[in-house]
Amino acid sequence: MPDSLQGTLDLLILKTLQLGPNHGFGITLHIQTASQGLLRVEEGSLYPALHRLERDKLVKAAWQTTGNRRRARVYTLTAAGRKRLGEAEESWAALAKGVGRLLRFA
Amino acid sequence: MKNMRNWFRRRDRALEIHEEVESHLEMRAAWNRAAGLSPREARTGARRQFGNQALIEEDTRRVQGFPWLETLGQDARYALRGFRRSPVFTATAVVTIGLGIGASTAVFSVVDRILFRPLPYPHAERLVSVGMLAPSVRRGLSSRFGRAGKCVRQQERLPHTGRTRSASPRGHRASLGNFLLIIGTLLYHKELFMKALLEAVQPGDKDWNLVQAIDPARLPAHIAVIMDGNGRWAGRRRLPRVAGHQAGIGPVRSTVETCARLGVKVLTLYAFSVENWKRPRAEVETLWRLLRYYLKQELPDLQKNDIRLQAIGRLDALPAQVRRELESGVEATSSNRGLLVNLAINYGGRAEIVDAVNAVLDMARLDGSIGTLRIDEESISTSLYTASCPDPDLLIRTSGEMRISNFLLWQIAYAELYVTETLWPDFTRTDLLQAVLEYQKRDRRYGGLSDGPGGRPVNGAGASDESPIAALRSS
Repeated sequence: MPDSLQGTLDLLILKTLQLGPNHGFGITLHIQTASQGLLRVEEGSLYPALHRLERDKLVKAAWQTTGNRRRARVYTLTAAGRKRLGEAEESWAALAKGVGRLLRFA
Repeated sequence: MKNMRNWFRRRDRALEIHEEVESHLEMRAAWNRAAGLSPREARTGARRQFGNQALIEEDTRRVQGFPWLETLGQDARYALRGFRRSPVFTATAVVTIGLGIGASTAVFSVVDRILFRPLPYPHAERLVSVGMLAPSVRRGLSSRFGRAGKCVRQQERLPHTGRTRSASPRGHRASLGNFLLIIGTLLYHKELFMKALLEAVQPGDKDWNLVQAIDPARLPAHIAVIMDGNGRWAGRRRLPRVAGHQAGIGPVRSTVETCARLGVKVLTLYAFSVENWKRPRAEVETLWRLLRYYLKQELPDLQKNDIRLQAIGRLDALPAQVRRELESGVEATSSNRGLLVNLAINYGGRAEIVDAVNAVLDMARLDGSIGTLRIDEESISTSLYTASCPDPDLLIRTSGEMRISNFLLWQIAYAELYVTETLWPDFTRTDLLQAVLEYQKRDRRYGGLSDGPGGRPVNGAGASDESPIAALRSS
């Protein structure tokens, strides 16, 4: 179960980056606002996941200077990342459908 | 090499992760300020929302790289924290290991220098070392006690030479010769003490094991003996008391010899106390006769063996002839440098202290310092009959009596007492060696905690504290 939860965080990150390159804080903010406050992950837990994705070459990272002259490490989705996002969305949809059916059945 | 590169890269990565997290915190704080929080609240809020920063950075670092290296670092940090919690243990461990390493290094350097590398002289393989007994022992023990002559001069190969003994000793002249002589003497010094004794005791002898067990480095410098039990010895055999005194001469001889062979510096024998005057006149006269007999009989041997004789006690009360002979014996041996034998004759410990105090007073009167005179331990010690001697380390009493009997009252303050049931005429070398062994088992504290002979208050450095040569030459 932890694996699929971790996979969930990966899915959220990849989906956020589909909108465009972003830094860690930006990703956090997007997850919170897009879920309208329902998904409030501990912000720090994002970083091990981001670096794992980077290690697996699903995202690539580069230091950039943001609008208000702050340095930030900005992540971009790679082709492999895009492919993985598709798979993850499918498996998530299947999981959600399965869990939903189970809940309705009971 | 690749590992090293990775390691440096990992350090850079750790820094990078930290910067990334810091930048996140700054942005979150700025966001919080924009939401209306005070700067301080914004910052603490950012940290709270982030979670455990150190843990997260560590987890992030762990995503790539070598978990074992990370664990190693953790283990090291854990160990360091443990050390900080028990500093005494840590200090002990560090000092122990440090000393161990230091000692090993030092010993190895010395061994390497002495044994493995040739000496820095041409034809080093032809060098010989010459060991030599100090003159006192050589002159002293060779003739009288026999068999010592062969150890006077020795030629040995140095351990690192592969050759047989050099045919000619010409190689070591001048300074090199002296150098080797000193080295040789130092190397043999351990054996020097015991050598004379070992020559008198062969393997299989009943004293062999005792001699082997004695530590030559911790011999008593001064042994004092209360020679008791002559009368009882005679009584058990239904002999007159004088026969007991006569039988006591042999043990005196053997005790002197064994002490000389052991390398003991001073032997004090309680021969005749002031109280002995109370005994029957005939017995007293026999004692004087025996003393004169002993002196006459033993003087040549004392001379040969470098033994110095000294009499302590109120000698002016002695019969004139006895005193003359005693004084001539003392005079004749006065230049000897070996064992010092103190014969306590007409001796009393209290009388000695009284005499010492009077001597201090007399001196003060002579030099006019009587008005301001203050007596201290030092001034009494140096005015006793035994002023030139270290205090006794070991006091032996025969015949089982648990008394001091007014013997060396001042000097035995820290002496180890050894009482044996053996009557004096039966006292042999075995008994003496057993007493010395028992002495070496004792924990000598000199009134303090166990701090060894260093804590000794008066002038009593043991034989072991001096260089072997000094110990043999001085006294």
